Amino acid sequence: MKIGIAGSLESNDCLVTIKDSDVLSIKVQSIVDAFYHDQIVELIQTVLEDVNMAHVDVTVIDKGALNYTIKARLLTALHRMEASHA
Amino acid sequence: MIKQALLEKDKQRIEQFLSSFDLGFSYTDDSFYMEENDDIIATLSIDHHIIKGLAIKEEFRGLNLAGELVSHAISLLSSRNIYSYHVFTKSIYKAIFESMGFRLLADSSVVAFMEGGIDSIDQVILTIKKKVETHFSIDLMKQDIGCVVVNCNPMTLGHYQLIEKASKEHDYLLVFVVETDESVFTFKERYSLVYLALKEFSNILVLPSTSYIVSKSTFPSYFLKVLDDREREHAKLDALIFRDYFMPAFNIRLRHVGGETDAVMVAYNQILKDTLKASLQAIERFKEEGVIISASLVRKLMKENKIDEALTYVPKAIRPLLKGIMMEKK
Repeated sequence: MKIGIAGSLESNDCLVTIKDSDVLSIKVQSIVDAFYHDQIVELIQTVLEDVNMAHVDVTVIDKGALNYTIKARLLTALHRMEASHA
Repeated sequence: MIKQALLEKDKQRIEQFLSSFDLGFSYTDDSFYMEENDDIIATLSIDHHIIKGLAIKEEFRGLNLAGELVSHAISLLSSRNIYSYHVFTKSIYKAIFESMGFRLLADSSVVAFMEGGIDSIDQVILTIKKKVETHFSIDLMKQDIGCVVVNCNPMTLGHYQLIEKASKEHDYLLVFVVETDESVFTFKERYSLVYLALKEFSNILVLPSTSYIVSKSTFPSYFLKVLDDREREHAKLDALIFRDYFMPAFNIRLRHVGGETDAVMVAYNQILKDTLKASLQAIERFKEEGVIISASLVRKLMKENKIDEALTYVPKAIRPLLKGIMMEKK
């Protein structure tokens, strides 16, 4: 199984875990779920479409990260997943 | 900044810090701490895939130091290719871990057991469940299922008779062999011996206990000599996970246990009884010419180099294999 992790659980950051999967699955848990949950999911979908990744399982634990932080963490996790041999 | 406790002196400081929290936790080979003016203000430890011993000084709460420590732990674990984690924490801290994406599995109201990362207890159970249903070509929900959990260190005639008796009370019997390697015989050796000894029974299936039954995660004290209060809480967690996850998933009607003489096992069985109530059935230990057959007796004889005598207490089918393993261990 290929896995990539990036980010942290510190304030204003998020922890992104990605593994390969048969189906697309996106899970988001955020301290601002009430306001931004759907927006974060949408952002993740957009990034995944941009890099042509349809078969991944993404989990994001968000501690109030800004959009570009989430995007950067996601891309790093994707790169790490591609490089992993776990 | 997060520091790792490398020196004995630092470990002692963590121990001292933790003792003021009544956590009963100790340091491990991977303990971390944060300082302010040379005083420890927060600490966390890792033991293989287990995250435990989180403590934060009262006046430093609300700064998300837990987030920093847990992030550090997760990145260290991923550098070791460990992506599934278990957490032992005081029940009052469970909300902190839940906010970090961990899921509560069992709560004894003193200690809580949680999991995070890529694996989940549901997936693990589902995989074994499919294996069982394919093996017997059955729907577990329509059968009468019994269960035993054994360490079998090593398998003896006592275990054999207990399992044989239990198997007669059910359509099918599941035998979970403790997977944690903390015994004289390795998991592979114990598992192979149990498998070989029970091959003749068409309604028994031998399975690994996973990291959720009597494992280093759920019940570290199983492998100790005595149980103190904290360890009793661990035993309770182990029993709760069995009751809330394994029993419904496998449709287990009864879990059978042997009568025990060892103090830890007597205490463990009592806690199982308190949790599982009528679903736990104790079976008398079998004696041969007045001698209680136990794995400890076999190990004792092996240690005294009386291998042939030791082998008389184990099922015939496994004698050649066990002899080979014992010779190797000498």
